[in-house]
Amino acid sequence: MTEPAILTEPVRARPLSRSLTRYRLLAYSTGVFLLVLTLHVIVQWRQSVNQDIPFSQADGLGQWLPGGQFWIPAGHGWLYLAYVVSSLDLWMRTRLPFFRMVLVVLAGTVPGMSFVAEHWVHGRVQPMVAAVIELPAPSVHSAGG
Amino acid sequence: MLRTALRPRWLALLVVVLLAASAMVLLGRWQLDRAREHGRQPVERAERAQARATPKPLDQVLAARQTFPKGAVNTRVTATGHWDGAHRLLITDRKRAGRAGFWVLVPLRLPDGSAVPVVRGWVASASDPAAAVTAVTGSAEVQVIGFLEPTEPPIQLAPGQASGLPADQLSRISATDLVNRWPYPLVTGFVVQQSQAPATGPAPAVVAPPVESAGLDLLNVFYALQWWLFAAIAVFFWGRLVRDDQLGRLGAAADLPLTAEVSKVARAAGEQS
Repeated sequence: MTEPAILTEPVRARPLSRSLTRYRLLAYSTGVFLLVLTLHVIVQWRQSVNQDIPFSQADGLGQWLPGGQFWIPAGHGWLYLAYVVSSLDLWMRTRLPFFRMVLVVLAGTVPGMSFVAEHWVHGRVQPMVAAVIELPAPSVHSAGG
Repeated sequence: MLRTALRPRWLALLVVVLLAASAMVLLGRWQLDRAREHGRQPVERAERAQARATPKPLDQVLAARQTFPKGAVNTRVTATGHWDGAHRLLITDRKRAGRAGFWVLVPLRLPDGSAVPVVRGWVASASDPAAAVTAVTGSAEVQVIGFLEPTEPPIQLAPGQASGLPADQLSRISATDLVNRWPYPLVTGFVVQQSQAPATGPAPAVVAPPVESAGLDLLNVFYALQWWLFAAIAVFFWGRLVRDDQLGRLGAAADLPLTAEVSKVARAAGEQS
């Protein structure tokens, strides 16, 4: 069997690098949004206790950010979905251990954990991207071994 | 592919994934229910507030031959006058709790000579005693409390086409039809009676005021969609794992040239640093 042709085409590095960047962007956005959502829920709970209204009617951060009681939870919901899709995309390109990937996906639901997950993923995938970019171009002709 | 999928570990994982996916589908449906519930709440609150509101005198809201003011729909009003039972009409095709029946429409003559159509209530058949013309005879002055509604547009009939209904029945509470049948100035709206004091004869079942259509809480609709998409992603993930196994990719990443070499070099780079 012939040796697989080594990644000479620098363009091959780009899809992987882009996938990683998308993942990192979404991990940070989801993480931040989740922290905002957590704060919103805490404020909602305090408001419902202080004003004696049902929890679902408390405005939370919507008191200072108009409409926040809608777009904070709604935004997080869609961002998290995008985060899961980008994690899946990254997994399909790198085949990191799948149980770890499940943890990465679940980390997006725990406040703060998506930063930890992002750190781990970055640590694993960045060397791959770097390796792809730094491989020397000429070895393409040694495809026969 | 099927043989790979039937390996014990993938079957076990499939069971887990299907359980998780089913749970997510149910969660999505729960969110959809909550969307409907949240949509109904403001409508229910408005209806309850309406029901408790102090009834306004009708002549302050709408007088005879005036155009129906927009904000007056479903206003709780009170009117005092005399029934004109001889001109009672039955409005066809009205449902109550799923059963078809009629509304009993009787004009209430007001002190100034005009009249307001009042839906006294619902009956199942035209022979119900509460629907009889005699049900509201008597010259006693009555006070009626109910909800004010705008008149309905008439059904369009071709010239010469008859509605096929008996003389004392109409299909819509339409001002144009009523003006032709009743000999006095009319209020261009009708009152759906909630109560009458003092009572006069057999009373038909009270008609509930029309319900506004409730919307859906968008946030919960989004949650429902997201749950269903997660369920699909979980199943897709399982499918990919099975395909990886089948192609011998798991653990070795052998036939994906990019990943094989990259992993080798990455490991080497890791060892050197």
